[in-house]
Amino acid sequence: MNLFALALRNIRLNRKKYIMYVFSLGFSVFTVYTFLALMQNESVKLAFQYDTRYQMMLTSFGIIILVFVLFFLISSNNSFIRARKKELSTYALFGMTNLRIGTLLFLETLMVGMVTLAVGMGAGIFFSKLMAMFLLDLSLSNYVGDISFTIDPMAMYVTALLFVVIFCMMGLSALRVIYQFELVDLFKADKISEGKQKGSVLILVLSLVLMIAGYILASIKSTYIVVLGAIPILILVITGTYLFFWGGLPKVLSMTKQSKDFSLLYCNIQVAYRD
Amino acid sequence: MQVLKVENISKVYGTKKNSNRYTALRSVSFEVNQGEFIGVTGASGSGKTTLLNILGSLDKPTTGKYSMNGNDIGTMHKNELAKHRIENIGFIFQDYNLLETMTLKENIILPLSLMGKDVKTIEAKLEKLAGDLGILHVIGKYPYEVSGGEQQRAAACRALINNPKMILADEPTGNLDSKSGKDLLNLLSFINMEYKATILLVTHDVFAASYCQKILFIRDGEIYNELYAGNDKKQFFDSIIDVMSMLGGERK
Repeated sequence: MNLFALALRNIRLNRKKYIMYVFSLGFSVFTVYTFLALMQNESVKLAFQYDTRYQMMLTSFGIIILVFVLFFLISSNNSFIRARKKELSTYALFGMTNLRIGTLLFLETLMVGMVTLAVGMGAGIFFSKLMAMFLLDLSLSNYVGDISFTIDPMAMYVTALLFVVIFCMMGLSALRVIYQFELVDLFKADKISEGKQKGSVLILVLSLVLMIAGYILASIKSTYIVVLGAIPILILVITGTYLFFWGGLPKVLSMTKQSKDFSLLYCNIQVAYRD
Repeated sequence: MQVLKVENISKVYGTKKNSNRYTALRSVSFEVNQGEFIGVTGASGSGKTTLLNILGSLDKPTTGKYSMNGNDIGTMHKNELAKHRIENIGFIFQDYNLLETMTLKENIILPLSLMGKDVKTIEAKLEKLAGDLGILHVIGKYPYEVSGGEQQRAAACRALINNPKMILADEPTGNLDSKSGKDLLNLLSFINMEYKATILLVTHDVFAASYCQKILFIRDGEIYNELYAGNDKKQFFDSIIDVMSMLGGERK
């Protein structure tokens, strides 16, 4: 059977899951486009021509959003694939190679992604004037000129490029997940839990240090340091938070589990987390 | 003709360093001849599914050798194994494992269409097989539109379509009601007779086991007993129950 036809059919049958996907992905596209467009917007540029802080802030927000989108999309995509493990293993059992399964999933991502890209960018263009007005109003700059409606080809181009790159990364990461599948699990698919993260003390400490350093840096009341340190602060807090949830929190939980007094006392919380 | 030869297969879970090593199979040896209908039975945890996984080349034994039609399976690479699976083995699962995104027909012909066979051969094969298995009238429907029994028959059809040397069935009646279960067992017997298919049925249901010609009883990873069916089905059934109770009785 044609992979393209199969991909279309899978999208149609998994449409409930894909609709959630379309909404979140579409919103991400919308946000990224909006920020890129705002940075290029003539009125915004004019308003902030003597104030580099806002340019910096916009760039930082753009980066945060991109990093968030990247992790969010890849991890949600991977868990989506794990949920379809049984189906994918069945393909493998009847002779589809892992590479072809990967291609199939990539096609699905690409098809849904292209539609979403168009929708998100359409919304971004539609609301671009509103967003520029919001920004200029919120920032209390004394801009009184007329804000014109603009379509920014550069921002469109960059957004599309960024998301195509993200789709490719999603495809590669999906392939890695597929290669981890063992056919034996077909016989006991429901009994296997998604592996538990053990975490480590080192990562826990490191993540706390990074986060605390970031927040201390951010709380210094000097405009000069805040402007200069915007990017380092972001990097510190983002990596710290990510490490904390990825390796730190599991360690905390496994430590509480080992201590009997604590885990019996707070067993309700533990159960709630595990579900 | 000998289809399968298993020599001293053992399977140990867990690595050497790991303290929770568990031996699922201990030097199991047996042979399967062309056209046999063999049952493998035993209590849960006795190692029957492990054995099936190894025979289906989904898992590798820790030690021991097994060969199908004279080819040593243990030495094969991943891609060779995939090819071996498609060409030689048909799988029937407890929960059918039909793809929800495809109609029964597309599910059945999936192995063939992935092999790249032409449409005419596929259609001809499908027509005959689906007719024999009594699912021709529901073949255009999706799995969720038909009954469990029909789904399992479609799965059996899929397992048969590329004329495998051996069919492995893992508790195929486990999810079916007694009527559909009985129908499926009759169907397996029919497949065994009509298509001369070699079938290996893993089950813990005595009734299902009584359809086989030969039964291997597994206990704690070893073959504990073998039983051959005579002419009298009732007697065979009774002797299975005897062995089963002996399996359990000795533990006390």
